Amino acid sequence: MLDVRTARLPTAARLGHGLRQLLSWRTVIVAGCVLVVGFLAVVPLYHLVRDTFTGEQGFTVSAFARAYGGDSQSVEMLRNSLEFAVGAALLALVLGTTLAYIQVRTDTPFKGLFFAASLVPLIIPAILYAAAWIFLADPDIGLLNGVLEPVIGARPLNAFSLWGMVWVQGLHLAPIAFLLMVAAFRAMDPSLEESALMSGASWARVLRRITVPLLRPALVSAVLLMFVQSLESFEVPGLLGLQNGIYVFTSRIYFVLRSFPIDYGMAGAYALGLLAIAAAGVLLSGRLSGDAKGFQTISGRAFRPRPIELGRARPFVGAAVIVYFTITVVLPVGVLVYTSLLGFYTAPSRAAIRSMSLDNYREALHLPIALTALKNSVLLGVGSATAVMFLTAVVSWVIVRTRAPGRRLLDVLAFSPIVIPGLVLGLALAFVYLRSPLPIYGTLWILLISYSTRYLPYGMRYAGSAMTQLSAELEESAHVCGASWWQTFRRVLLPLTSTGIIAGWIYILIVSFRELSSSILLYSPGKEVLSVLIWEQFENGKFTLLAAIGVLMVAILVVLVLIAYRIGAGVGLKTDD
Amino acid sequence: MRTKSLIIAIVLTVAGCGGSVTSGGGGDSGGGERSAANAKVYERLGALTGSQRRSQMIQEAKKEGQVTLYTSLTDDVAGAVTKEFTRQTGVKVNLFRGGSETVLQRILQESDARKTGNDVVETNFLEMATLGQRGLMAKFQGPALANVDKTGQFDNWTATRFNIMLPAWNTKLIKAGDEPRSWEDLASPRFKGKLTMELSDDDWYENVTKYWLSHGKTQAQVDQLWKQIAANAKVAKGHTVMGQLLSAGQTGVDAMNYTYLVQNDIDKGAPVSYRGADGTARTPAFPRPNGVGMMKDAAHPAAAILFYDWLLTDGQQALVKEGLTPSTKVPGDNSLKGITLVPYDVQGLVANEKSWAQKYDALLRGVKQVGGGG
Amino acid sequence: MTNTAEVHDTPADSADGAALLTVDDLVKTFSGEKQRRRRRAGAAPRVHALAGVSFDVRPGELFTLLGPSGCGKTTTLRSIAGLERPDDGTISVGDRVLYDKERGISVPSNARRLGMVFQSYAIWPHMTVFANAAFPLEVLPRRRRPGRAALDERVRKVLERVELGDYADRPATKLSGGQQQRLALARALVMEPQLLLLDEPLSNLDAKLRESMRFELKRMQRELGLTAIYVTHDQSEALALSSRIAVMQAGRIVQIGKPREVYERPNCQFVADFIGVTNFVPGTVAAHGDGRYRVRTSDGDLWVTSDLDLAVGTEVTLSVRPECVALSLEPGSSAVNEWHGRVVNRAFLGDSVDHVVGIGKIELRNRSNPAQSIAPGTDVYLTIDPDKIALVAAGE
Repeated sequence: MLDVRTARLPTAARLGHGLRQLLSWRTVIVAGCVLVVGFLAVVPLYHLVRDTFTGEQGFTVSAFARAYGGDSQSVEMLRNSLEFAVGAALLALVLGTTLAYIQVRTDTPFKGLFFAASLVPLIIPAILYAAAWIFLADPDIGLLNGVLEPVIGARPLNAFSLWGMVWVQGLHLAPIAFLLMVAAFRAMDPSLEESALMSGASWARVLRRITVPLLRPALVSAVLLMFVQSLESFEVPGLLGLQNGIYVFTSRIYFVLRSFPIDYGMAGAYALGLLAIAAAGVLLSGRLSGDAKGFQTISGRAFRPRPIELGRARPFVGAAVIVYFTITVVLPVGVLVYTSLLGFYTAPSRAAIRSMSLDNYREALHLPIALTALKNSVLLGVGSATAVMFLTAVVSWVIVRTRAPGRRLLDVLAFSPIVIPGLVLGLALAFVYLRSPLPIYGTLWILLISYSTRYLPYGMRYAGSAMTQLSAELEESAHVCGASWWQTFRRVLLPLTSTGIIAGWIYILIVSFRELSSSILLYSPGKEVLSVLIWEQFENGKFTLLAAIGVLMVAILVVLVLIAYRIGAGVGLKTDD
Repeated sequence: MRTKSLIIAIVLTVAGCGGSVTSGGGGDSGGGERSAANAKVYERLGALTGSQRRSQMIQEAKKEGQVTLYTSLTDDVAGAVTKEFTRQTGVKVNLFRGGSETVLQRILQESDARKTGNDVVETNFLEMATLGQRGLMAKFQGPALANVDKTGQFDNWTATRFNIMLPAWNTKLIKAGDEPRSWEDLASPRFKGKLTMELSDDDWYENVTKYWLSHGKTQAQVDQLWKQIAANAKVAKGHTVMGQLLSAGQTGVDAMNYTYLVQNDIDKGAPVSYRGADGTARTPAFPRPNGVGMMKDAAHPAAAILFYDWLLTDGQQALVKEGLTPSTKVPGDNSLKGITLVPYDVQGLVANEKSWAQKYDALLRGVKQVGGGG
Repeated sequence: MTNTAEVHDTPADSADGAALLTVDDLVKTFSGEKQRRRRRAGAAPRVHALAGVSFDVRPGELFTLLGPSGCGKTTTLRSIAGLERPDDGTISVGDRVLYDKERGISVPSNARRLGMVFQSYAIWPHMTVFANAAFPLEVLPRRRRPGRAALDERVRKVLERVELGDYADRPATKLSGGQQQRLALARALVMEPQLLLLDEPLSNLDAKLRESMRFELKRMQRELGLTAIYVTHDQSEALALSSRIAVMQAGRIVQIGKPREVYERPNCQFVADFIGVTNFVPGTVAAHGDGRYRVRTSDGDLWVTSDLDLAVGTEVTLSVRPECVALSLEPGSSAVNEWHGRVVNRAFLGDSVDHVVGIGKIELRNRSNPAQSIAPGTDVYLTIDPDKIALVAAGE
């Protein structure tokens, strides 16, 4: 508190005051979070860059020649990668956004199903999800093809095609779009649309001219995230693409990382290529989002979200919801449950049904490390989700609200972990913390650091789009009312962005359960996690046991998420559903 | 707020204090007092014979209390094996499991940082060879070595088990008698579109190629065969997925799968096989060795040599019980019944794995081959 | 509030002891991001958001900053609130210096203890009506925070005052626009601030509500003896509410005065034009004496009362409000400022009738009582009271 008396004091006293201001909560928290985020992101990035440009005789760019030159077919792979990633991102965006709109804005039936439809695909590890779709849509043994053949006289579905890949990846990603867009729709003043409807515009026109443009920052953010994630994902291209020779960039990275001795330079060159694409994406999304101020749809004028009455369309929308739910949840989970009851996968038949048993579940529960792994995974999931969302809430505040120089760089930096292969991240962290005096290596902390790093980009997107939508006046008014920065942050900013923050929290909680590539390098005896357990069953060929674990995991996470929603509902904007 | 860019600069500097994760530790990382002390323990205990050997080892290991094992054995096998070890010796095992590359990376990183975390390691030959070259492991002596074939004995490590490489097929889709009887058979037109190859099987590719070249084929013939095989095949990732798809009838033939994985499915009643109707496999099988080694820098040297010794003797039985193929003759082991083994080319792969991996990758991607052999 | 008392004991620093708020020579350059680096380089083009704004506000005044959008009025208000940092100048409230470039003082906005009503109201949608109004008290430092009961009492009282007493426990989102506006006001008042800042508080209301809120606001300000700064671009709002008005243009205050002064005696063409409707008549000073000027226009001379000091021959512009142009069908008794013309056009506006009268080259707009309605084409005599003509600088 400065008043006229201190103001008149000589310079020395003012210096003291300056110091006090420097150590204010705001400075400490903001600088702390920026430093932590910067550090988390820079460590792996630094090692990546260093490994890429260091050869036997010092600096070199030969890694790029190895990665992209010669017979690497890099152009073709880039094309495959882009087609796959763009296709999957767009499919997921359309599905997720439509679903979010119906859920938030209409009086659709079956609202409860949205919850499951939005989460279950996330929970199922990609490797199981893709495998489930092989069993559903394989040209030879696919169950759906079996059902369709007598009806239309052909076996139309082929999971092993670019469209198949886009389909499976798109369905698997749709929950990200759903979670991001639900937050955006909840935050948006429906009167902006209503006023357009009143002025005589058709519903479709309002959607195109008002809704979509207003949601542009959230849409762009979601597309970017899903696009880059598809680019760097390997499970779906690995399981579905290779069969017919559809190679993508990550097939190459996988190949590089498993041949010996590992060519880190080459892997780094690919990762940097992806990073360049991602960075271009971040900058482009900044451009596309335009002047953030124009999109502040949470203003201080309160609004009452009133659901649009679907009227005669209601049964059709309801039917569409059921179809979507069936495709994304019932079918894949059904296949998993079915598989989990068998000794080995075989198409449904009388013999197969007779051989069903709960043996796999019994075995899963008796695995020696099952309980430890579950406990550690829950700890890490909750811990990293909380840490990431807090850090990214503060950092996106810096990026969205201040004019701090370097904030764009910070944005790109916080996005970079998304393209860093998990193994490279794991190696970098092990390198740093093996040499750190702090007891981090060999404990759960190193896994927490790894997860927090990997999920920074997601936290940034969730927190960032929530922050962008919030009118600055809501904070300013708290300030003028006498609230300190921390009070404003805690009592105004966090609650008002809570829908987005909770969505991000849940997302990170869920995906942290399946993080494998760095976990496997960084865990220590006694510090096992579920994903390691799953990987082991996979390596050991126990696919049916794996399916059982997958089913159990879905059940556990659904319960966890329900609890989170219950807690979260008490914090933020009240919603009517 | 102007300080932000400064902060970022600081972060960059801080992060810059690290070195490269890939820099090798060189041969000197085993140096130091502990390594010298351990050498004496290894020598002393290794020289013992008869019943005194085991009892002395157990006595000293119990004093150390525990042993830390890094391995690529999977959960169930590792769990069963270590449990049996503890039951027989009373020494507790700390277990780290991971892929063989992960095990290697972890050990290299820890030894670079002078924080060796494990006492013993058990993993794939390629990684074991690297650890041996880096001089991180101590030489083992003992009568147990006599049970292991010469091809399974290396400077600083010893083979413990084999992954047997053979074609596998779905017995419903491939009629008896139509199954592949040799590696050349995979090129046959009768497998057109029915064959699946795995993304990372470059060591198999190397072994088959060298086998052909040493059995009278010219480079051109070999190239031609591979071209035909690749033309017959789809590509899959992961031997497990391949096995599942084979059981489910999605594919007819796995060009190569590990017999223990296939056997696992057979035991559950899946319609798959790697032996013909007469119970023999005509195709020459390559046994890929996995081995055990003990660390020069081990924190528990007596326990380390005890585990090494045990794994090559009583432990072999435990491996058989889990369906693996042991490196010594074990009564009751049927995993090699009807199978003709041919030598697996460890040396060639240790020297040249990378270039073979690139060739295999190129073959699968349909890139035009230049030259070949090597 | 001991702190305030202490502050009041210190001798006044400001030249004008009566002023509650003193704003002196505020300068703010709007720099786009890229211009930031060139700030010191004089050559770079700069946009002045504020180019030396100075004014005083006396206790109990409702002081209005009026101007078109982009004139700097909101920037001025936000600078007072501490939401923007000016490049130069001083701001003080009472004896507290809030901002002083020279002395390096800049009190953060949360320590300025001012009340502010935002254009969007900035009601927090996640809180109840009560919680919104209680917030400023709840965030007070512990030693100054009232106890639970006292806090309750104060919030209830301020909600009663804005007639939201019955709505205390409702979610803020369930209020109508006018109610939200009152809640924003209650929140600003609960602190009993020395100074209230109002940023276009009525602009989001519909026309009818705006009218009634205008008087409501005025009543409350007077009853509570509030000192307030009011930012608006609506001249009729400014005229109706203000004790004094500062008209701003391009980052400068062009005129400060009571509503009547500003309306009747605009000191430049911009002010005359921006406030109300007016007729501009160009002319030249022909003679002067006794506080009056005779101004020669193209269609005859007009006598004008003015305390300006202008030489004969100076080019000037006269501003004549339509309601100051009196029409009659017969010539009047006094010949001062009487012209003869013809009605060109007529418009009925309900509470008035407008005529456009042509006199030679000049056309003048008149506003009459609806009782007087003259058909176009009719010859009329028009007279203008010399006191009602404003003499403003020519051109521009």
